[in-house]
Amino acid sequence: MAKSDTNPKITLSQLSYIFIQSQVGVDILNLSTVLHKEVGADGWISLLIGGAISIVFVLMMVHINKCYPGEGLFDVLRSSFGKTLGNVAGFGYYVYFLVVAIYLLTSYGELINQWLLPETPIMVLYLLLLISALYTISGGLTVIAKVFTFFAVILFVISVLFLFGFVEAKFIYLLPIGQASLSAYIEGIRVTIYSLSSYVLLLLFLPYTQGSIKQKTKTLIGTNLIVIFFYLYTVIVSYAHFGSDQIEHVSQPVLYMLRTADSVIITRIDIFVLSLWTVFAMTAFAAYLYGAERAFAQIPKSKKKMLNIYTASIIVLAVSFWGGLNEENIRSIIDFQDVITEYFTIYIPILLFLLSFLRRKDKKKEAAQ
Amino acid sequence: MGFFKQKKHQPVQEKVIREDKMPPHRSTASLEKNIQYLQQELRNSTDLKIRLLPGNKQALVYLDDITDPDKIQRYIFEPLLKTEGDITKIKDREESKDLNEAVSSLLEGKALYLIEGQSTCYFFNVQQNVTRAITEPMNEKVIKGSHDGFNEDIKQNINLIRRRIQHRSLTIKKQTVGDYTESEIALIYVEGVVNPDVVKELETRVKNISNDALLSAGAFSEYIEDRTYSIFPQFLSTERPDKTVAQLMEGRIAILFANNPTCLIAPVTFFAFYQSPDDYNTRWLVATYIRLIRLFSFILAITLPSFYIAVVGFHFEVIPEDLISPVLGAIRDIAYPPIIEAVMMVVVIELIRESGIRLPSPIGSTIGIVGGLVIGDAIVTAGLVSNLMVIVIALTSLASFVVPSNEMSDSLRLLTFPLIILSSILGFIGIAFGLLMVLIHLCRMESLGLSYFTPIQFRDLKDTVIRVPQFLMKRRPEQLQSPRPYKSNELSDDDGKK
Repeated sequence: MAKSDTNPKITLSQLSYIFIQSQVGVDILNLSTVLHKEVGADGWISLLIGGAISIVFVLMMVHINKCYPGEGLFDVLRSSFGKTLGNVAGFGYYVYFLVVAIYLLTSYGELINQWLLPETPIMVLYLLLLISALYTISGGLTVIAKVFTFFAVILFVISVLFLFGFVEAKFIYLLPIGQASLSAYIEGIRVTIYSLSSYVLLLLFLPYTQGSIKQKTKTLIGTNLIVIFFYLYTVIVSYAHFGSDQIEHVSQPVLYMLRTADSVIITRIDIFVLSLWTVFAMTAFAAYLYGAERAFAQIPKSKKKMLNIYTASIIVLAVSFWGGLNEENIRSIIDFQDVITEYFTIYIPILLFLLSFLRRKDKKKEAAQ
Repeated sequence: MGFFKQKKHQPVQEKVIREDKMPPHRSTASLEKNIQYLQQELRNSTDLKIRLLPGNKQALVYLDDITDPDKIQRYIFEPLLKTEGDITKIKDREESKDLNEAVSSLLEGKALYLIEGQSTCYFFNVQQNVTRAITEPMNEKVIKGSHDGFNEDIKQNINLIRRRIQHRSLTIKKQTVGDYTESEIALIYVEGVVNPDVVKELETRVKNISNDALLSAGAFSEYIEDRTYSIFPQFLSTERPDKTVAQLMEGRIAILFANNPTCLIAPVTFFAFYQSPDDYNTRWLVATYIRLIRLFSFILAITLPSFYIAVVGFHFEVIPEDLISPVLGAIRDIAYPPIIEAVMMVVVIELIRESGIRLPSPIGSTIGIVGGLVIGDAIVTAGLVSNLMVIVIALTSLASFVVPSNEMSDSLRLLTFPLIILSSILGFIGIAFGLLMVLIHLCRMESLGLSYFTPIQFRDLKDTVIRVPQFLMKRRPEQLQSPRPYKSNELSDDDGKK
């Protein structure tokens, strides 16, 4: 069905901005804490290794795209698993994208509720984020690309603001190296890969991108490196700022770090960063909602695009509201997400990659010609 | 549900036929019958002059108020004397046997010469031209640069453009719009530089306009713009020929209107509203500095009041320690919440601005000063508005007037309201969402099918946020997809490397 779409084209640079924006979500704010819990002071090393592995996954995605020219994620699923299994997997991705979207929405709501607006009904925040994401998605791929490209400026601004963290940083905190056990490393790598897992979305965008496979590969590797270095930068700043003893007890170390930083014109930079973070929350959320919309378009034979988005967003909103600020419900959402993330971001991509050697279509076409 | 459905009453109205599409009405050999028909068609208007020449065998018919008596004398009577009454020997005449064509020529300001016993009518162009002198437009003054401006005469306006682009590829396509008014519009572009798809798009849009009267450029733009419900202007309007020509050479289309000094330019980007001809006439460093000031003023104009409200209402901790007590002192005794203060002050400023426009200029400026000073001072001493809020709103409206384009500045002032409301409900998060929506909206917008708000990329930066020296601006804007992407015959790239 994706072939019936009028092929909207996005440029290579737009692809890379989409990739950046869909990866940088709310998670990064407490990535350092999570990594430290798992790996200790070696967290940043496992981040680097995990980043390298995520690049391998990105390369696999590009390879899959090369093997099935012009096919989106769901066509690829069908081509490689067969029709029935492929549809089941497609539905699985629908659920997965929805769950990630729900997770992004609830974590943003929780974050703002904790830091800025404790009195505001959380539904208001959900609705605002949802409306802006819907407004972006309903414009189609080109608008998504443009919006995401524009907001990439924010990443730069925030990186500059993080420099305040270096004022009281002690790099001795990064030492000693290599203390953690192997299992801790693996755990850290897993966390890293999850936080870089939006490479799954690449299959939605790659077929609509201009440029050769070589160019795409180069761009995506570069983009992934940028994201990895941004993560590394935040992790190192917060490690160096807080040290092992403190960081365990701080849930959003980056924000706390900026809270104490003093500047001449304004105090409390954390509030600004948090407001700017709305952009990342929105773009990442919009990316997954777009994925869900695409997936939903494959299940029933509905061609009304907006209907698909509304269905997806009502589900997201309802579950998020159910989760809301309720510890228990949120816990169960996150647990569920953890379970399925493993399948949809690691196993299925690997399986697709392996199958692509058997069922590839590009060679066949060449042979036919 | 048919019970509730009421049949809409369709009013009956006669179809108006445009003058240039009237079916022909053959003239007769009888002078009297012809004149009668003309009188009847022109509804016996008193300005229809019928001059019977001696002998009552010939008549000269014209509309008195739009013809020039001097020209009648020079072009008709003097030659007639020389040729001893033989009209067919006079040059510069048109002939027709269609009386409906005669009516429309009369309306254009031509004189009609009829002869008893002949069905041929002769036309002479004796139109009276009423034009205003070429002056610098009041609303777009520049310090350096040419000081001429468009006026109400479309011919003179085209003249001003033709004189600046002396090349055969400058294309001018005239059309008329409006069944009654038949307003003339001219689409002007440089063939080979403009994107032909855009021209086609614009032409079809103009063709689809169906209206009795087209009176202004603003109304026209509402018929053909991409998003009528948007707050942002989608056509750059200017009265400056130099600005128009610069845009033409970038690959855009200019639309001129008869009887209107405004020229519309499309397709535009958001940043075009922040460019002024001044920028290209000063040192590039200075121009860049001014561009940056304008960009800053854009951000200031839409966010400053909401920022202040958010700080006072939600995030007091943002204010540095030493400033807290002065701020607190200023707002402590104010009875109203900040949002009411802000709205009140904005309305006051708008009142002063609007009254200043309508009044004659000597009084207008006085009202501005008196209104501003007196009301500003009194409103603070009365305790209605804090003096910080006065500063904030005054700065905001100053910033909104920095925009070189009038419409954009109006849009900006309107945009502050939703942001004020959002920030008073949600603080900084409200502002963040408000700006997010505005920016997404900008990204979604299109101007004649081309994107309106291209995200800033390095190459576009050169003539948007800053202005680099001319020799570095070698390409036309990417947005236009011009068939001639480079500005010169030399195909060197931006950094001078071949």
